[in-house]
Amino acid sequence: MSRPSETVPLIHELVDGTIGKEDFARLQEILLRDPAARKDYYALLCTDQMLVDTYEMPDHLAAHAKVVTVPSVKRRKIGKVLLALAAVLVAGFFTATVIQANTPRVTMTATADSHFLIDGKEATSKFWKKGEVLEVHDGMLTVRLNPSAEASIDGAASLRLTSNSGDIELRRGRTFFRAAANSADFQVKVAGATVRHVGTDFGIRALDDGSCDVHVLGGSVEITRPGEDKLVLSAGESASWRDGGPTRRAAAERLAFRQSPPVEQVIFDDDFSEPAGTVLADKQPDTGKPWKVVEQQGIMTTGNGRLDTSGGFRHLGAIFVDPPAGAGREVLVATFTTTPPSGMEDKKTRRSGIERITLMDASGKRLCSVVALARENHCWRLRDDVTGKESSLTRLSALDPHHLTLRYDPAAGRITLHAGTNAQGETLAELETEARAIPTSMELWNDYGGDFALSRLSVRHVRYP
Amino acid sequence: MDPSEENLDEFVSELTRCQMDLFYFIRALTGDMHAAYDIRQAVNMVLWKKREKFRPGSSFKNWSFQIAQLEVKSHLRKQRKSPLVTFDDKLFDLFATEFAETVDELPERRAALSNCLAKLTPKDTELLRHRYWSGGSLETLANNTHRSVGTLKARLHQLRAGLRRCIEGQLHQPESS
Repeated sequence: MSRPSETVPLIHELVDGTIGKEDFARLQEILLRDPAARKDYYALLCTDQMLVDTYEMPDHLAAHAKVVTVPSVKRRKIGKVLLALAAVLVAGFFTATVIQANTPRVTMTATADSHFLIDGKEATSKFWKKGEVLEVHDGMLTVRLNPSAEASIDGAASLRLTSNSGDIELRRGRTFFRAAANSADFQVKVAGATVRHVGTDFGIRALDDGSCDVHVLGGSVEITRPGEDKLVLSAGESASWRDGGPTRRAAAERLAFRQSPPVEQVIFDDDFSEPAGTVLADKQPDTGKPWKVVEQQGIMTTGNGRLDTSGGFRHLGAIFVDPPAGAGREVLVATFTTTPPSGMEDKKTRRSGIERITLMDASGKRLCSVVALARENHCWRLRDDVTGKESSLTRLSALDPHHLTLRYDPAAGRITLHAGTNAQGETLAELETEARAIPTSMELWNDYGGDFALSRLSVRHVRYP
Repeated sequence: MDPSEENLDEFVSELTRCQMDLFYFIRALTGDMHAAYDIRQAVNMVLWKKREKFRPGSSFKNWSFQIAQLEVKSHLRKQRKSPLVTFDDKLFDLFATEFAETVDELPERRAALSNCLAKLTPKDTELLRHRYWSGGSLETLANNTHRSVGTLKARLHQLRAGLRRCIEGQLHQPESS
């Protein structure tokens, strides 16, 4: 029997579109004679397509879903011509009109530390669609406007996409545009003016007071303001104005805009996939330096996908690898996944229990923590360990399964805790911090009956040039 | 309402409703997602031209699948000379007969997938998001995470197979009383 040792991998290759001719011929023979192999094909193909639908629900499918969810359409007496027209429109819905013209083509790529919302909600796809307002609170987004043009949006910023071909209204914040000379046309509306690229690199900054400035670093741009002649700015020039006010020209500020995305590196990662019973002390994580065990009651072990502190107090150190050398603003994004610890029997009776995960600097000084106390039902909150200030309590318990992401931005003096595996998830807690150092390790600490278990711990370092 | 208008109204409604199933069906017959997008457009046009032949009250899905089967076959015949791989006629007919049953389960499969995705580790979720959401290459993710492309590809295949098992486990779970 060839399944599954041979058939299933071949089906995966077919589904991925990477199967070679010989393998395809072999797979075809198997599929012809083996009904079970055909079932594998149907099931894996459906799984792949459902994943496509789940992660990148394009407009034509979303529109379809809306139609399906409306069970009955009120039938109205309408003329044959109108009905036929409507029918043609629907029949053509999935042809050129929608699939090509209205399919969202503007895609977003976010940095690991970014937090942004689309129409006030967490983004659910990589597409930015016409009419949607994008608010970048933290980090940086690179938006592909068309195959030859992209925009680097630096948080905080607010923009609205006015067409699926990349026209933008910049409401607030800084955005740098890079467009090839042959790039399809796109326009930026800002402070009452329209800015059109003529194959260029340029930045626009829109301020809260309604003023804005445009800086051209390469090529040229055309600026059209109501009641004024078209203004052409060339490389090295800038112009600024307030809506309704005069235009002032000056030299371009090359350093006013971030023109490339930050450098990201995973500096610690462990999914505890060793055999159960592996001793934690000096264990090598997937990425990072060997684990340090500072204090323990009994021998702390891990494995089988879990690090469980149950069974006594623990004081453990996850040591990061050195981030890439360089200057610039640094942000740390730590993601951890909690699962229920095995020692649950005393969690309601021992009211002094504590669970804590702390970022530490190179000298061993605590910078900031996520802390859970038994008397607060083990729910997490943020703590700035420099000032002792704490955030409000979150609703998420350290004893329950959750993905959580801690974002530490010392340059902005801000720490945030997000639901999910990156900083794009819901903000559960936020706190100003006076900590300024860059963490080099993470301390995991439990005592007085507090316990937690992790199935993954991952830390990413982001450096802005 | 004029009966012909009412029929047209129903036709439009059915045509719209079956788009997702039609796409899955065409993808199964071609084995190629991108070709399936193109062929579905062609199938929609044929369905529209043949709308008079649809008998209201009968299964629109069966009718549209029959037409799609012919259209896909015709499309693939034209493609035969190209380097694209295509299934032979016998296998193609087997797919067309058998796959409709899988399509009937799609709503349940989608709901089950949603539950199964919630159980994944962040590392696996990241891999899926990279592959299906950002559309990024495995090379990029491999560089960023210090893993090899082969490891990521193998993990992606394991994940897809694991999700399939999880989905089918839920589909065949006895309903709790």
